Amino acid sequence: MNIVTVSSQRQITIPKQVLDQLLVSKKDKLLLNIEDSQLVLKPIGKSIVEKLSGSLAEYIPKNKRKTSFKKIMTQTQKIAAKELAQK
Amino acid sequence: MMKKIYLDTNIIVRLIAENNSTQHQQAKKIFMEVEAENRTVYLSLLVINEVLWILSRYYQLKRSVFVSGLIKLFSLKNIKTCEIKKKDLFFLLDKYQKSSYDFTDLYLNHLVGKTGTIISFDKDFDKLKVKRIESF
Repeated sequence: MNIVTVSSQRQITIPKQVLDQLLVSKKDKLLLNIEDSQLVLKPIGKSIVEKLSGSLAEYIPKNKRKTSFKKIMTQTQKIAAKELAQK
Repeated sequence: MMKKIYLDTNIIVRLIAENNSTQHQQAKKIFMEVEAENRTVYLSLLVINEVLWILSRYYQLKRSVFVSGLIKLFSLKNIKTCEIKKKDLFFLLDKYQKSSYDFTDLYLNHLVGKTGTIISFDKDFDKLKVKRIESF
Protein backbone atom coordinates (compact mmCIF):
# COMPACT_ATOMS: atom_id res chain seq x y z
CA MET A 1 0.00 0.00 0.00
CA ASN A 2 1.27 3.46 -0.89
CA ILE A 3 0.07 6.91 0.08
CA VAL A 4 0.41 9.54 -2.63
CA THR A 5 -0.24 13.26 -2.36
CA VAL A 6 -2.11 15.32 -4.91
CA SER A 7 0.14 18.29 -5.71
CA SER A 8 -0.90 21.90 -6.11
CA GLN A 9 -1.02 21.16 -9.87
CA ARG A 10 -3.34 18.16 -9.22
CA GLN A 11 -0.55 15.73 -10.12
CA ILE A 12 0.36 12.51 -8.34
CA THR A 13 3.55 10.42 -8.50
CA ILE A 14 3.14 6.69 -8.90
CA PRO A 15 5.98 4.72 -7.27
CA LYS A 16 8.36 3.12 -9.78
CA GLN A 17 8.01 -0.39 -8.35
CA VAL A 18 4.23 -0.22 -8.81
CA LEU A 19 4.63 0.70 -12.49
CA ASP A 20 7.39 -1.87 -13.00
CA GLN A 21 5.15 -4.56 -11.57
CA LEU A 22 2.48 -3.71 -14.13
CA LEU A 23 5.07 -3.33 -16.93
CA VAL A 24 4.07 0.27 -17.44
CA SER A 25 6.88 2.26 -19.04
CA LYS A 26 7.41 5.98 -19.22
CA LYS A 27 4.99 7.67 -21.62
CA ASP A 28 2.54 4.76 -21.60
CA LYS A 29 -1.08 5.77 -21.29
CA LEU A 30 -3.34 4.83 -18.38
CA LEU A 31 -7.11 4.73 -18.34
CA LEU A 32 -8.49 6.73 -15.40
CA ASN A 33 -11.92 5.77 -14.04
CA ILE A 34 -14.04 6.14 -10.92
CA GLU A 35 -15.43 2.86 -9.60
CA ASP A 36 -17.42 2.87 -6.33
CA SER A 37 -15.78 6.10 -5.17
CA GLN A 38 -12.35 4.68 -5.99
CA LEU A 39 -9.88 5.99 -8.54
CA VAL A 40 -8.83 3.14 -10.82
CA LEU A 41 -5.89 3.42 -13.21
CA LYS A 42 -5.63 0.74 -15.91
CA PRO A 43 -2.68 0.44 -18.30
CA ILE A 44 -3.82 0.80 -21.90
CA GLY A 45 -2.12 -1.91 -23.90
CA LYS A 46 1.48 -2.79 -23.31
CA SER A 47 4.74 -1.40 -24.53
CA ILE A 48 5.97 -2.35 -28.02
CA VAL A 49 8.78 -4.44 -26.53
CA GLU A 50 6.35 -6.18 -24.20
CA LYS A 51 4.06 -6.97 -27.11
CA LEU A 52 6.87 -8.30 -29.28
CA SER A 53 8.66 -10.17 -26.55
CA GLY A 54 8.40 -13.88 -27.41
CA SER A 55 5.77 -13.09 -30.04
CA LEU A 56 7.23 -15.59 -32.53
CA ALA A 57 8.00 -18.32 -29.98
CA GLU A 58 4.81 -20.25 -30.73
CA TYR A 59 5.73 -20.45 -34.42
CA ILE A 60 9.19 -21.93 -33.81
CA PRO A 61 9.27 -25.69 -34.45
CA LYS A 62 10.00 -27.69 -31.28
CA ASN A 63 13.22 -29.15 -32.68
CA LYS A 64 14.59 -25.65 -33.25
CA ARG A 65 13.97 -24.30 -29.75
CA LYS A 66 16.85 -23.89 -27.35
CA THR A 67 19.42 -24.03 -30.15
CA SER A 68 22.74 -22.26 -29.61
CA PHE A 69 23.06 -19.10 -31.66
CA LYS A 70 26.26 -20.38 -33.23
CA LYS A 71 24.37 -23.33 -34.65
CA ILE A 72 21.52 -21.09 -35.85
CA MET A 73 24.00 -18.89 -37.72
CA THR A 74 25.93 -21.82 -39.23
CA GLN A 75 22.72 -23.47 -40.47
CA THR A 76 21.35 -20.19 -41.82
CA GLN A 77 24.58 -19.41 -43.65
CA LYS A 78 24.51 -22.88 -45.25
CA ILE A 79 20.95 -22.32 -46.46
CA ALA A 80 21.80 -18.81 -47.68
CA ALA A 81 24.93 -19.96 -49.51
CA LYS A 82 23.00 -22.71 -51.26
CA GLU A 83 20.20 -20.39 -52.36
CA LEU A 84 22.51 -17.61 -53.50
CA ALA A 85 24.68 -20.03 -55.50
CA GLN A 86 21.60 -21.20 -57.40
CA LYS A 87 20.79 -17.70 -58.64
CA MET B 1 30.64 11.11 -24.34
CA MET B 2 29.17 7.64 -24.09
CA LYS B 3 30.42 5.11 -26.62
CA LYS B 4 28.00 4.03 -29.32
CA ILE B 5 26.37 0.65 -28.76
CA TYR B 6 25.56 -1.48 -31.81
CA LEU B 7 22.87 -4.20 -31.77
CA ASP B 8 23.80 -7.69 -32.87
CA THR B 9 21.49 -10.19 -34.56
CA ASN B 10 21.17 -12.56 -31.59
CA ILE B 11 19.71 -9.89 -29.27
CA ILE B 12 16.86 -9.24 -31.72
CA VAL B 13 16.21 -12.92 -32.50
CA ARG B 14 16.25 -13.92 -28.83
CA LEU B 15 13.77 -11.17 -27.96
CA ILE B 16 11.11 -12.23 -30.41
CA ALA B 17 11.66 -15.93 -31.05
CA GLU B 18 12.02 -17.15 -27.45
CA ASN B 19 9.95 -16.57 -24.38
CA ASN B 20 11.62 -18.05 -21.34
CA SER B 21 15.37 -18.42 -21.76
CA THR B 22 17.96 -16.39 -19.86
CA GLN B 23 19.07 -14.74 -23.11
CA HIS B 24 15.46 -13.82 -23.84
CA GLN B 25 15.13 -12.12 -20.46
CA GLN B 26 18.42 -10.27 -21.02
CA ALA B 27 17.37 -9.17 -24.51
CA LYS B 28 14.00 -7.95 -23.20
CA LYS B 29 15.71 -5.92 -20.51
CA ILE B 30 17.94 -4.29 -23.12
CA PHE B 31 15.01 -3.34 -25.35
CA MET B 32 12.96 -2.09 -22.39
CA GLU B 33 15.79 0.32 -21.60
CA VAL B 34 15.85 1.43 -25.23
CA GLU B 35 12.06 1.86 -25.29
CA ALA B 36 12.17 3.88 -22.05
CA GLU B 37 14.74 6.07 -23.86
CA ASN B 38 17.37 5.45 -21.19
CA ARG B 39 19.70 3.99 -23.82
CA THR B 40 20.37 4.43 -27.52
CA VAL B 41 21.48 1.59 -29.78
CA TYR B 42 22.58 1.49 -33.43
CA LEU B 43 21.27 -1.00 -35.94
CA SER B 44 23.11 -2.06 -39.10
CA LEU B 45 21.50 -3.27 -42.31
CA LEU B 46 23.78 -6.33 -42.17
CA VAL B 47 22.19 -7.28 -38.85
CA ILE B 48 18.70 -6.73 -40.23
CA ASN B 49 19.58 -8.94 -43.20
CA GLU B 50 20.76 -11.72 -40.87
CA VAL B 51 17.58 -11.47 -38.79
CA LEU B 52 15.49 -11.81 -41.97
CA TRP B 53 17.49 -14.83 -43.16
CA ILE B 54 17.18 -16.58 -39.79
CA LEU B 55 13.46 -15.96 -39.41
CA SER B 56 12.53 -16.81 -42.99
CA ARG B 57 14.93 -19.61 -43.84
CA TYR B 58 16.13 -21.19 -40.61
CA TYR B 59 12.84 -20.92 -38.67
CA GLN B 60 10.84 -21.04 -41.93
CA LEU B 61 8.43 -18.35 -40.79
CA LYS B 62 6.21 -16.58 -43.30
CA ARG B 63 7.13 -12.97 -43.94
CA SER B 64 3.61 -11.90 -42.99
CA VAL B 65 4.19 -13.36 -39.50
CA PHE B 66 7.29 -11.39 -38.57
CA VAL B 67 7.86 -8.27 -40.70
CA SER B 68 5.29 -5.93 -39.14
CA GLY B 69 6.66 -6.76 -35.67
CA LEU B 70 10.20 -5.90 -36.78
CA ILE B 71 9.00 -2.59 -38.20
CA LYS B 72 7.34 -1.78 -34.86
CA LEU B 73 10.49 -2.72 -32.97
CA PHE B 74 12.81 -0.74 -35.22
CA SER B 75 10.49 2.25 -34.96
CA LEU B 76 11.56 2.74 -31.33
CA LYS B 77 12.94 6.24 -31.15
CA ASN B 78 16.22 5.19 -29.55
CA ILE B 79 17.08 2.59 -32.18
CA LYS B 80 19.15 4.46 -34.76
CA THR B 81 19.70 2.91 -38.17
CA CYS B 82 23.08 2.88 -39.89
CA GLU B 83 23.52 3.07 -43.68
CA ILE B 84 19.87 3.93 -44.37
CA LYS B 85 17.13 6.30 -43.18
CA LYS B 86 14.34 4.68 -41.17
CA LYS B 87 11.72 5.85 -43.66
CA ASP B 88 13.55 4.03 -46.49
CA LEU B 89 14.16 0.96 -44.32
CA PHE B 90 10.45 0.64 -43.54
CA PHE B 91 9.61 1.09 -47.21
CA LEU B 92 12.02 -1.76 -48.08
CA LEU B 93 10.72 -4.01 -45.29
CA ASP B 94 7.17 -3.41 -46.44
CA LYS B 95 8.20 -4.36 -50.02
CA TYR B 96 10.01 -7.41 -48.62
CA GLN B 97 6.85 -8.49 -46.79
CA LYS B 98 4.66 -8.12 -49.86
CA SER B 99 7.01 -9.91 -52.28
CA SER B 100 9.39 -12.84 -52.45
CA TYR B 101 12.47 -10.76 -53.27
CA ASP B 102 15.64 -11.05 -51.22
CA PHE B 103 16.19 -8.13 -48.93
CA THR B 104 19.65 -7.64 -50.48
CA ASP B 105 18.07 -7.32 -53.94
CA LEU B 106 15.56 -4.77 -52.64
CA TYR B 107 18.33 -2.77 -51.01
CA LEU B 108 20.47 -2.83 -54.17
CA ASN B 109 17.43 -1.74 -56.13
CA HIS B 110 17.00 1.13 -53.67
CA LEU B 111 20.67 2.12 -54.11
CA VAL B 112 20.50 1.94 -57.89
CA GLY B 113 17.38 4.12 -57.87
CA LYS B 114 15.92 5.48 -61.08
CA THR B 115 19.18 6.61 -62.63
CA GLY B 116 21.66 3.83 -61.85
CA THR B 117 22.37 0.47 -63.44
CA ILE B 118 23.09 -2.87 -61.83
CA ILE B 119 25.60 -5.35 -63.16
CA SER B 120 24.34 -8.82 -62.32
CA PHE B 121 23.49 -12.21 -63.82
CA ASP B 122 20.37 -12.37 -61.63
CA LYS B 123 17.27 -11.96 -63.82
CA ASP B 124 15.16 -11.24 -60.72
CA PHE B 125 16.24 -7.62 -61.05
CA ASP B 126 14.35 -7.33 -64.35
CA LYS B 127 11.09 -7.87 -62.43
CA LEU B 128 12.08 -4.99 -60.14
CA LYS B 129 12.26 -2.81 -63.27
CA VAL B 130 15.85 -1.84 -62.56
CA LYS B 131 18.25 -1.36 -65.47
CA ARG B 132 20.51 -4.43 -65.57
CA ILE B 133 23.60 -5.21 -67.59
CA GLU B 134 25.73 -8.38 -67.61
CA SER B 135 28.93 -6.80 -68.93
CA PHE B 136 30.40 -3.31 -69.41
